[in-house]
Amino acid sequence: MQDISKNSSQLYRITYEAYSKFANKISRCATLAEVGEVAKTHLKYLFNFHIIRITIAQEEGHVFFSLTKDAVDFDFKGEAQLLAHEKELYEKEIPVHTTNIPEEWLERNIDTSTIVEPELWGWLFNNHSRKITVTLISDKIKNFGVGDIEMLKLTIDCFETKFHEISLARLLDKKNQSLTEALNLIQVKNEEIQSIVNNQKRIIKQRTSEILEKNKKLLHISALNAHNIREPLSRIQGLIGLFPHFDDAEIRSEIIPKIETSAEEMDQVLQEVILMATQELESLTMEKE
Amino acid sequence: MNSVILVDDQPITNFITKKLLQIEGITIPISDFTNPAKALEMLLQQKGEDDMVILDLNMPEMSGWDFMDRLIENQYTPRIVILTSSTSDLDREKALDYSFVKDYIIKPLNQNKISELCTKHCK
Repeated sequence: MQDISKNSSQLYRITYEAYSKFANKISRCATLAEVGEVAKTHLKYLFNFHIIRITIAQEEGHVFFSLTKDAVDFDFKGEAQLLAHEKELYEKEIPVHTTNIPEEWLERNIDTSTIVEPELWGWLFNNHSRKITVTLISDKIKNFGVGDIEMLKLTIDCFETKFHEISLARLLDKKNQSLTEALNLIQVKNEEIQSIVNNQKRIIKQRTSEILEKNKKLLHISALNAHNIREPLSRIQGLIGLFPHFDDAEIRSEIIPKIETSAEEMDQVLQEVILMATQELESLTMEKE
Repeated sequence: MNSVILVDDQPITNFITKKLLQIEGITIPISDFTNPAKALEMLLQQKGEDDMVILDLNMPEMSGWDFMDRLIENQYTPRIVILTSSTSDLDREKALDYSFVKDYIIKPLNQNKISELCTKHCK
């Protein structure tokens, strides 16, 4: 069987196919966990590594994504702690290739007994003016070479685009949530305002009805009073109108007593009207107070 | 017209009306009632006679409105002339809604008003 490593065009086709699969699957991911799963399955066909760690500078803080053979870890809240060489990469932008690896971090991520002469590779990329650091741990068994850097750059582009998309989706989601909360608040306030308006309307309606009722009562009282006063007055006027048809004796004996009776009745009615008006006035004054 | 019936709770008003009618030369019988219920009873007893009722509106036991409604209930509607101290247009309009109300006079009654009334309804 032919050794593929010596057939460059076949090797190119295999690599191209592996990258296509990786890029295709990454583009379909909706979450960081899904990105992690795809990377765990496909990245090993593109280059060797024990750990690959990506950090991206945000407006405030950094986010990170880390992958080993068995585990995926990420923190996109912008609270990631940078490793010492990453801080240097952000400051100086000079790639790193060293055997001096932060031990604690290494032991936290992989079983160090399985690796032989580990090496740390570090780069800083500027993708669409977004700064990204990439840290890769390789060793004698899982060897990484300068020839792999081009493929690494392609995969980092792919990761970065997806991370950016997820980050925008999260931002949009957050904004949507804020808008929904604002909308809910507006609805609650609207309901409160509507309730106040309805209450005011009810009070106005009630007060208007009370005023109308009072007006009606007062009109009725004034009409009744006017009628009650006019009644004895009209009798007095009618009796006076009879004077020419009676002689003096008849006027004194028949008409004058009737005028007196009517006048007394009129006085009585007027006193009642004055009493009623006084009581109404007092009740209005009390209500006002 | 066979008779004139005066219905007013105030006997002095009936006295004035009766005197003015007599002065005007009315010779047909004039009866007067201060109790509208009794006047109604009498009217319903002699149904069919050509009577004219001079009726007050504001009476304590039975108002002029109730009086007329009772006549309608009993399907007897003699000529009615309202004689009231009310100056309300509402009362006037309401009274003239009754088809058998022929006139509406506001007190005080005097010789001129009685003459006009008699010219229209007695002769």
